[in-house]
Amino acid sequence: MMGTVVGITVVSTDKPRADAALNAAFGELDRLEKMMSTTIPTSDVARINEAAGKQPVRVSPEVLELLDKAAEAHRISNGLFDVTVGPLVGLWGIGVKEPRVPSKEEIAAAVALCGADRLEVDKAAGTVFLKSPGMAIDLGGIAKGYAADRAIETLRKSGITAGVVAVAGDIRAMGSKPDGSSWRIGVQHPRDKDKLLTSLALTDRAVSTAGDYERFLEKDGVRYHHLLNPATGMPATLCQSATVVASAGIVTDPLSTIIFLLGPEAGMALVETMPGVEAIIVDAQGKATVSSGLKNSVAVK
Amino acid sequence: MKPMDLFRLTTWGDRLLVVILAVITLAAFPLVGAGTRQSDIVIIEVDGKPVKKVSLKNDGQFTIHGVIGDAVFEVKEGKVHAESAPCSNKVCIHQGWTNMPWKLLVCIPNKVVVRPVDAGGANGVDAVTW
Amino acid sequence: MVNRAANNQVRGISRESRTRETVFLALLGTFAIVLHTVEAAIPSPLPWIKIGLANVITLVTIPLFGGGAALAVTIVRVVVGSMITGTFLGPSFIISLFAGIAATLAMIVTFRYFSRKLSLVGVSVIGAYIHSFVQVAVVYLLLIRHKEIFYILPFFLSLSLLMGLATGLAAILLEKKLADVVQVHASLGVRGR
Repeated sequence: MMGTVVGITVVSTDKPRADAALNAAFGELDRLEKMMSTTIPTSDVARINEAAGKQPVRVSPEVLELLDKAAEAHRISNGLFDVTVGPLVGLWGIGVKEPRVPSKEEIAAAVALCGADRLEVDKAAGTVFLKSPGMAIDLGGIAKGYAADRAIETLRKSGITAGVVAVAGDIRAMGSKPDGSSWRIGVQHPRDKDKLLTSLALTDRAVSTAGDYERFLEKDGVRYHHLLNPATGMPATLCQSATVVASAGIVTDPLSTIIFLLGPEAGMALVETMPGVEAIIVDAQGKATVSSGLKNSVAVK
Repeated sequence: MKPMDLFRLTTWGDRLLVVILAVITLAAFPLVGAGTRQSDIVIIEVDGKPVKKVSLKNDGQFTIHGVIGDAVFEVKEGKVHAESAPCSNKVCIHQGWTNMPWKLLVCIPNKVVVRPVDAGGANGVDAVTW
Repeated sequence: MVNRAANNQVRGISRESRTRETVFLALLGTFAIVLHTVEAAIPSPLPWIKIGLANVITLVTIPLFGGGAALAVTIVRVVVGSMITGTFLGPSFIISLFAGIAATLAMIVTFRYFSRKLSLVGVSVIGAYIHSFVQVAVVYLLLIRHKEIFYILPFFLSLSLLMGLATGLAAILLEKKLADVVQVHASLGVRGR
């Protein structure tokens, strides 16, 4: 579902309740997918993209809220986080279709079609308008984190007090494990797929990771991954991975991408200005740095 | 026949060969010792691509969508095994339970591999962010 | 000295003993098939890896009937054995075939060039080692391209060592008895006195 693997763990002594909660949560994820998928023609996102350059499209309040958060992420990242990267993502096709390395001209043309400044959100009318034809939005950088949050909410409404939702690598943990300890979340090592960089003990927190190893194609010895800089149209090369811990997935998902694009120094600087947000950044050489809030609890190999 | 008689059937060359091979084999054990360390998590790969990481710490079940059908795996007491598989031979099911890297559960027709890995972490993890 | 005589198919000996030999070879082949089938029933943690029980027949065939016959026995054993177990042309068949042929060739070469230094025990041990090694290698190359499966090698190799020793000793004893029946004068057996 959502083009990736979703895992939900629930703690409950009541099996029927747990089953009901799980069903409700998966149902919610299904609903979100129908709303935000770029490939389902009736989704809000697909309709927005279809009407690019033509007319505004009425969408659900949830999508408006998401675009709002995305705009905030766009601001704090000085434009690095941009949901209008649809044309670029489609061009590279990494993880979506057939990945290929596009030419400089193709990239330039796609970059010209991106730009959150041409995304008009009218909250009063409840509509979204992409001003130029050929533009497209892709909520991949924020949808999974949001989905994890929504799934946890659904579990909570179903009477569950502890559990973990993992939408691919975007994870939200609620409550504690049956033995009272925190949920242990491992952080994937960016280069050795059998190893963990470290593990985090989380209670009611969310964590997301942006990495150059998840989806990529390798050509002539150069790795082209899916985290693109919207200004240059090329994959960012400052980090191998960026892991962000915060209160909700809707924060960690875009932030992990932002930190990845910013690089280890600028990224860590940004994190240190945000209370309640912590990060582990692995730079392009494989060296890991940990934010101040995590320094004492995390030992990185 | 007494052991000594059997021994006398062998030649010096035989004995030397056996000793050399024994030494080589024994020396190889520590090299692959990592393979026998009990694992905390398993990586599941479909058609060669990792699709899921599951912790062996918590009992439960999970379903994997393979190339020809769905396979159900069960985690219990730190080990994992295949419960049902869409293939005809059910080799993977006959493999039984595992939690060591050398014993990977394999379903060739379905292209599903369940690989225990040594996460290198002190305790098992419940999920992995990647 | 000894190998030549053992390798030459019996020449100039009466037709009766010739027939007797052919029948005997066929019998050996049958035993090999039976052993192969029995072996298939033994469970193994990694699928398709076998412990090489049936090699004892191949081993005995080399000094009595020569390399060519031994190879034939191996191939017939694997083909017919796999037909009986219903795995013909399956992965188990391919692996047994490659490993069996490799082991047989290794044993033939060892027998031919090292008979002065090694008895059938040495030949057997080498055959068993090669058999296990090739099995794992074929599984890796053709089926499970995960280096982790090589982790089982030391375990299997030590098993092979022991099996090789046992089958080698058994083969020496067996061969002495069979040599009389087959009426081949030269035989490889007790040495190193």
